[in-house]
Amino acid sequence: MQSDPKSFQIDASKLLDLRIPEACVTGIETSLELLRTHARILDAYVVQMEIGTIQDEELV
Amino acid sequence: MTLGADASAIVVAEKVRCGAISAQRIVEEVLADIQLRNASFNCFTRVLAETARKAAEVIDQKVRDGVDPGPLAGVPFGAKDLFDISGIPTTAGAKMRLNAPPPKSDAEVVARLKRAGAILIGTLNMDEYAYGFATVNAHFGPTRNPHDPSRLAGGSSGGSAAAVAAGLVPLALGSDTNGSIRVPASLCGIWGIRPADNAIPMNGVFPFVEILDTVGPFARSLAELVLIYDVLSDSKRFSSDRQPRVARLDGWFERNADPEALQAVDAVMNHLGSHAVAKMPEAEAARSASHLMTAAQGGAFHLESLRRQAMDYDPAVRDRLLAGAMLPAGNYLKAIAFRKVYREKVRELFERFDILIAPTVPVVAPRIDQATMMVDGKPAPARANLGLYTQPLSVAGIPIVSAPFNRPNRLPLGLQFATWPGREEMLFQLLSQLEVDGLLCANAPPLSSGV
Repeated sequence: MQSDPKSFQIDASKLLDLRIPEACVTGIETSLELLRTHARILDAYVVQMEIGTIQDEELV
Repeated sequence: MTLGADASAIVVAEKVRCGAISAQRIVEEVLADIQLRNASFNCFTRVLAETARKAAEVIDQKVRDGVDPGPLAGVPFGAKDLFDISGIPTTAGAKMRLNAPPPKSDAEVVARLKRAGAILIGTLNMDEYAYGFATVNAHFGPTRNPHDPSRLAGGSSGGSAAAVAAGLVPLALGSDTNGSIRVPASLCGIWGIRPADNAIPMNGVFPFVEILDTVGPFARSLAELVLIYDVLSDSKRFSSDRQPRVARLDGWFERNADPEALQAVDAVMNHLGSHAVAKMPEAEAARSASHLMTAAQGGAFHLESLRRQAMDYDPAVRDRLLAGAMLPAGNYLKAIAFRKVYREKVRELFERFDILIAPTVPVVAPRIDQATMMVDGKPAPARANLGLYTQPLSVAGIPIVSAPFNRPNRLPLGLQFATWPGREEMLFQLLSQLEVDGLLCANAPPLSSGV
């Protein structure tokens, strides 16, 4: 069963013993979305880098 | 004798050292000017009048006794409110720290300036906990740009940059994690330097993102910037007879730039007779890595405080710190791993070049009420994107000067000049030539503003 992304966020805050004030929810979601975007950009680079490394080794 | 509140640090120190003017007179002039004009820009959060007067007395006594008062004798300076100052709380721009236990000693950089004879006038406004590019502080209000008070001064060291640009003090200290010296230097039209990693000591500085944090000065001329840099820095400068190999950064550093910013780069490159172009490897990924490292380290540092008093934070800062605290460790570790690879690629780039040039900020100072700017053809939050060109260079850990392009009677634009650690002297020599030739200049703001 796929987990609901929202339930993961709740777990994260529980893990950290953080009580999220209602007033912060929208702002946190916006911030998390931005961080997810940056994580994807970085992931794409890291994957590229790893593929590049394998290709280089094959060439050798 | 009166020098005027906007006299250069070099002139002030010369006159004080030879006894032509007293440090006490300088301090009284500066305090009166701040009383008159600070409210228009909201640069100072605390003015330390009595301690400044006492420090001036000591300097004047040294002069009378024939004791060298130091290279910055009688020069007034302000410090972003994240540097420890003995006896008063370090707020880091946070209301919740107004009654924090005061430190027993000054931050090392503040102590060095005082030992050189400079006089601390007060603390300067900033984004709360240095998390921002705007200096719009929910508790202490926005700092306004001296060139147009309806516009942002930039951040997070906006109080420092605006105080220098407005002529309230000749020198100020700021910090630069993702661009917090360079962005406000650019928007306020003055000089600022982010030093190489570990070139200037961080003792007594309230941390934000320890692996990216640096501290550095602002000034209205290169000579003043270098004078204060030499007092602050641990690194030695080595001269070189070799002509610097200069290139402009393309790709990421041209994408989204206002035509005026690119024309400024063109003008400098044409003047230098260089058409070399360099590509900073993976600049976009570097910016993403800086976002992730910032959020994760900032969130981790503030976690305990967020548990206890989240609602006491500036809302614009709080929500980002909370999100950062919940960022999976894998994202952070990937950013750290990337940083190592990226720095090696940047080092390889500096085997071919000595100085790389790019706009500091894609645009002139946005209005304080301006929510968005265009990024990749779409409206995007203006404040968050002022660091588009500074963040990738922060991750490289290299020294970078933001220099004001000479464009009188227009809103300021800054250019980044980046070099490899150890080549600072070569960079300063090139900048000096460009300043003498009229390409770079901190144009004074309109006299009407703030009066």
